Amino acid sequence: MEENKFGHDQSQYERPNLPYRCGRASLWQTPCNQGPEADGTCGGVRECTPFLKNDRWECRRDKRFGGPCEDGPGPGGECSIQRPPCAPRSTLRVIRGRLVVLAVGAILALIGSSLVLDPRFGGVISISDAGPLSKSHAKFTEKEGCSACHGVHGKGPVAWIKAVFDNSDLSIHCVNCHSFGGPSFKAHNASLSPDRKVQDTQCIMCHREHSGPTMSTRFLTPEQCNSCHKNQFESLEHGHPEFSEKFPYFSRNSVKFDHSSHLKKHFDNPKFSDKAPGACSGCHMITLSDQEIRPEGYEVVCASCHDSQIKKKELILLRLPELAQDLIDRKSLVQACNFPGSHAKVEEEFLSISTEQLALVTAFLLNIPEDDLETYDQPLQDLIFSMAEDSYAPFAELIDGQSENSMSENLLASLNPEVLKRAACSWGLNQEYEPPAEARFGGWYADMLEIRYKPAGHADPVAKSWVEFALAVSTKQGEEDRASRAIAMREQILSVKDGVGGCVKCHAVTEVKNSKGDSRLVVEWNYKNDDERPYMRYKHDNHIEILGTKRSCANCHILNKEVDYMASYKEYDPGNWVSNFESIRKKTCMQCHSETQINLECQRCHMYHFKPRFKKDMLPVKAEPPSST
Amino acid sequence: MTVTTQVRPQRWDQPFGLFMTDQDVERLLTVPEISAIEESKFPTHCPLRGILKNDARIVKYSAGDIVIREGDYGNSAFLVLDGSLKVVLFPGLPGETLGRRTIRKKNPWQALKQLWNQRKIPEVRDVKRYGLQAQVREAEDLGAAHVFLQDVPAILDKNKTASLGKGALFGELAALGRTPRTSTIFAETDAELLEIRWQGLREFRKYDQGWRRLIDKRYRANALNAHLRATSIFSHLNDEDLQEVADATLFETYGKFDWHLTYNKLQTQDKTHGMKDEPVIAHQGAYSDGILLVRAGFARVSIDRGNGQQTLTYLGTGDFYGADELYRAWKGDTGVSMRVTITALGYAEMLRVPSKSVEKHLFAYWSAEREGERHPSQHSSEKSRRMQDFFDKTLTDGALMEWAVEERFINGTQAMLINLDRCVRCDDCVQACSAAHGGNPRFIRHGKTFENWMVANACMHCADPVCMIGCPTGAIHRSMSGGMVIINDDTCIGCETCANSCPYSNIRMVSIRDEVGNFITDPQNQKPILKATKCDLCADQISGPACVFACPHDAMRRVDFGETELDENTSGL
Amino acid sequence: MKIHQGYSLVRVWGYVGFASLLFLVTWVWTIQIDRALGIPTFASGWVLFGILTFIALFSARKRLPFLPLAPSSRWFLLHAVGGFLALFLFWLHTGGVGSKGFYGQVLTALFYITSISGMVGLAMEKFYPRQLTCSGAEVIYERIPGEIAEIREEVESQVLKCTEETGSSTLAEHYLETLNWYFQKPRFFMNNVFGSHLSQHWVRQQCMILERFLDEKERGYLDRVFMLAEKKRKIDFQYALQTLLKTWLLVHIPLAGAVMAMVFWHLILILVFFV
Repeated sequence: MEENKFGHDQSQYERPNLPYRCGRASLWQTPCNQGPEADGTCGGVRECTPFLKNDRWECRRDKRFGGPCEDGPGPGGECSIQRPPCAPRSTLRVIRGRLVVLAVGAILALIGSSLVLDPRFGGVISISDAGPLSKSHAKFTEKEGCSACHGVHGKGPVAWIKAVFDNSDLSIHCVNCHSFGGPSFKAHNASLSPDRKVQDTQCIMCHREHSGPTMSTRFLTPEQCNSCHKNQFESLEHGHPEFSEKFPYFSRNSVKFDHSSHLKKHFDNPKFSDKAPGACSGCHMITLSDQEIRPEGYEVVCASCHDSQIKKKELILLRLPELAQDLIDRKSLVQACNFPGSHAKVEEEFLSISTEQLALVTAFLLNIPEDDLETYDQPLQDLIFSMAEDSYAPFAELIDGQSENSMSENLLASLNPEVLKRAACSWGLNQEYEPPAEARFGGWYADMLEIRYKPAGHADPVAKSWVEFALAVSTKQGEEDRASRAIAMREQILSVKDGVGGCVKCHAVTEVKNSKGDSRLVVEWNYKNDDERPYMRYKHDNHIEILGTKRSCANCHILNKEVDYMASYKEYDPGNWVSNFESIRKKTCMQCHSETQINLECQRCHMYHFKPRFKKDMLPVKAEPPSST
Repeated sequence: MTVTTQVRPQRWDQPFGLFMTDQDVERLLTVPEISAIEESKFPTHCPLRGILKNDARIVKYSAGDIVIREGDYGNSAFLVLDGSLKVVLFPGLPGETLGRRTIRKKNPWQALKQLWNQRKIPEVRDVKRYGLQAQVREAEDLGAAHVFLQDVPAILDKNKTASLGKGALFGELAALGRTPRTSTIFAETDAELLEIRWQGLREFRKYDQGWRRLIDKRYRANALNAHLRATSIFSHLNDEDLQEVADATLFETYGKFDWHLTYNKLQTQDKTHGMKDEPVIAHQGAYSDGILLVRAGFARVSIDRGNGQQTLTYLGTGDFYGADELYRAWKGDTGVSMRVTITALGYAEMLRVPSKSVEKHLFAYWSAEREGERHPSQHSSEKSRRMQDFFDKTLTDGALMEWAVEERFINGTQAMLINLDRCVRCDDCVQACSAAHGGNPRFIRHGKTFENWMVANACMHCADPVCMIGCPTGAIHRSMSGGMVIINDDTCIGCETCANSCPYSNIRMVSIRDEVGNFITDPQNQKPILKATKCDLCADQISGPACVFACPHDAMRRVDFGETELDENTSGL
Repeated sequence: MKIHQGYSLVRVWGYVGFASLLFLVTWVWTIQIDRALGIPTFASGWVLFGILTFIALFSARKRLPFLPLAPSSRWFLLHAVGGFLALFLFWLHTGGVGSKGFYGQVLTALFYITSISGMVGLAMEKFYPRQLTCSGAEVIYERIPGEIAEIREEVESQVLKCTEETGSSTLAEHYLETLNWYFQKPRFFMNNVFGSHLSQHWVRQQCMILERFLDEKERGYLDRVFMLAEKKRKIDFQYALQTLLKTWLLVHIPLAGAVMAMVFWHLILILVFFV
């Protein structure tokens, strides 16, 4: 710019605050001097407004724009320098202002339209859509839409304002579908002891949505667990407390299986070594195993070695003891037994055929001492005579008399009445009963001086019933004599060596207390599942998969050879039991789960929720029960 | 179409005193100082009676009233008609006693209201307001507005004062010199004064020889003493010694008082020639015969460089030069001469204190007081102290100063300096200026540039405001406080004198409009009414100059070239 | 009267330091909240909202130069630093690059475009002024049309004079064929923006190719035309850069307005729907 262009006559103020600029300038022509009017019309149509002075029109062009023009105004007083009006344009500033209004307006329109037009009903887009849901939520909330979780959705502005101050709207809706084994809004879904102050929880503390279909439950970091737990630590390696002393072998097994003796002694025994399993997986089902690896059933695991033992152990129902005199009425006996001859009594002195003692079972049933000849003579001979007449009837009566339920059905199952009668008839004649053959195939049989029961095999129902019976009656006898006889009977039946079937050799007997404080003894017939640990998460199968099936068990389950496993089974209290195996220590897990190897977050082993379940019907159609017709 | 008109304002539309009557004029003509004036010497368009009636007024003061305050800028001189007054001599009264009046700034609510007062029509004026304004002001001027001293006897006791009685003239210094009042003068008894505004004084001086001599003589005598008194190196002198120095001092004027009239011509000349035409005050290499003090105007300090002169710096009012050379010569150095050439820039009033007086009163005092060598530069003015720095400047370093002096931007105390390396040309400054003035900007963001510096066309509030010289009504004036030059829109008659006078083209005439947007015209000849406008440094805004405040990149500053350090720190990032 | 001081690098670094501190504090705060099972996005969100509101107020400050709020240069620095801080806070708040829902994506897109436009604008405002200063011309943007029209008229009068005086129409023909286009309006916009010297080269070429057809007198006119063309070239450069310096705001500010509108909607949605 040349110097004189700054002169006060050459250069006027620039007014960037005015909204219009000369239209000519926007077309790159010379702009007029006056500039656009305030209302946006062209201000430069005329250069001046001529003035009539003494009958002459004078040009009144501003001095700064050149002063009066050469030609002067026209004869009628019109300015001689006129040009067609321009179309003033808005300045950039004004356009900018309009764009701002447009942009904000567009956004508001977008919001407004989506509020009014729901996408389900044809609206274009949802301006409130916060993002895609996880797959499961997306599927199951399809019908209800947003209001499945957001209670305030679809309600008016008043509800919206209230919702600002409400803190639990979302979590309340979660429990419409989800429920737990305990209270939903307490930590770990458990009511901890009341003196412990733990804040109530909200689902949204950990679970977030609207992050896409592949989103899963938010994983907690150790720091977040530490936010509630007083015992705070960083990881398994740093600060996690040592596992409990007995972990994981807390409860006494129901079946006494001494791993030490089996693994170290019995399996090596040449007699059984071909039947013995080669590895732990020979007995334990390791496929699809979870927290617990159960052994296979008796038939698979134990039968091959133990079956023969069971059949050897028999119940002695009745033994003909030594008798003092013959007290049975011969005539009646002959009649009852259908003897062909008269079998008159011999007048010689009576010589008992048996010199045995009375069977404990009989002693208990008749409530007579088994060793006192004087006392048991008469009742026993009466019993024998009754047996000759009515076979099992007296026994059934005696048995049934012990309890309200009729147990004779169970206890005397498969008893052939002939057995009792024939034996009784022989003994009544003071003769041994000669069986026709050896009772090889089990069941009730009479042999010489005894009525015996031979178990058919494992889980023989009669044997089991007799065990149960012995346990039941031994705890509820009032009279001392009776009680001691019951205990004696029980001791015999439960004896590991002599007990019928040898059940108790393997099955534990436990004292159980009921709510009133009464205790009774129970045989643990069934395999006892591992304790429920609802907050633990451990899967054997993937560990085994990684570590291998052969020797991996012994990596964590280390046999403790010194411990006396069977000792505690002598008592009925399961408290002092110790496992065959050393309890698993933290360092065992840390062999692999450490900072430098596989890191262990809290949630890899621990679950937060207690028994999560669904309470909502997931399927629209329910299965119909079969009709009665 | 309705056309709003306003009768073209005339010089004496707004008389200085509204209540001056012909009787007053007659009375004044009997006063000895006035009766001595020859009426016939005055032209018909500007008669003596007219001047007396319109450019002067009779003002009454009560005892204790302050007539003029030291430091204020004033536009009028006073002739004592009756009563006695006291002049407070150096050091003068403290500010609180004097009840300084400041420009009333807007309060925050008024400032905020400006947001809604932005007009889309440029230069709108409410003509009805023009008539009223004068009365309001008049009412203020009469009576109640006088500031008065609380405890006159105490002041008389503690301070040195001089008396002024009937027939005394005072205040012409500030009025004619465009400088602040040099002393405080208050009424000891009730007094009656004739206040003559400087436009009238100017006519007296122009057309009457007696007054011319009187004014000039008083001007010289008072100006001299006041100036010497204020100079630091002479501050230790007592009154007697000071008077001795004053009597010995030579009062020299160089250049033209209305230098602005040749300014444009100067700009088009060959630069080396231009400098050669500058009146020389002292030559480089010549014998130094005294200390030079600048009383008014500007002087260039330069050294020979090749075929031209390199400007080292410039001296303004209050600066002095020469103590160093004289001292060394006095101490015994031989061959000491002026190291620099000093020339007048446009107009310079110099005081030359001869070496004899300097040696007697100054050097002797310095030696007597202290042992050992004391470097005179410690007693020099700020400028002289930096003189050594200036000698070491390269041509590049000094280029900006050279340019500023050449363009006479050194005159400005608030030059609008824009750093073009920072300026993004966003016009926020212009927007802010217009926002602060109801939608009318008061400067243009163009101007002379040098390297990356632009001095924009915004009023620089010059130390020597030549725009004020020709104003017939005194609409353009220096404000009572703050010192900025302001145009009073109500009294401006649009004669364009100031706009034409300003050498930097910083004053612009605007055609005023009414509320609707039509031009307000003179009904007699339909010529638009003009008003002069310029930057007023946002005197009534809380935030100070809105332009500087609004620049988002710190590209703009209001500077005084003498004080500003313009170096690497102020260029771009 | 205060002479306002220019901004110093110390101040810039001071603001940057303060912003970094604020970011770190917010980050640590969110981590704490996360550990305590709270919702960390609330903390980062409110801080982000505060910062966004503050930087949006810059617009308001520009309209109030007469109120004693801080000098505009400080606001600008805070705006720029705050913009970067907002970007980092945005990443902290969303935990990644953006968000998944539709309205979140709209907001993310708007935010990014605004931020990017801001950074581009910042770069322009830093580097263009120097270019403008060195260009050899200094002209107010609104006066460019007038200047160009004046140059064009002058060129045309020179060309006409040449034809009249010398009788040869070579220059006139060349003007009508080629130079006319150049003097119509500002040309070589893109080249000027990206700093190439094509315009200079073109002008020189256009004048050089003509030389062999002109005699001495005509060459005199050609020189004058060349000088005017050079003058126009400088003005073109001013035009290009000043246009960009003015129009980038037409992207940045409306989008920022849209961002703020979306932010308010986001705020409503979060407060109502997200407990």
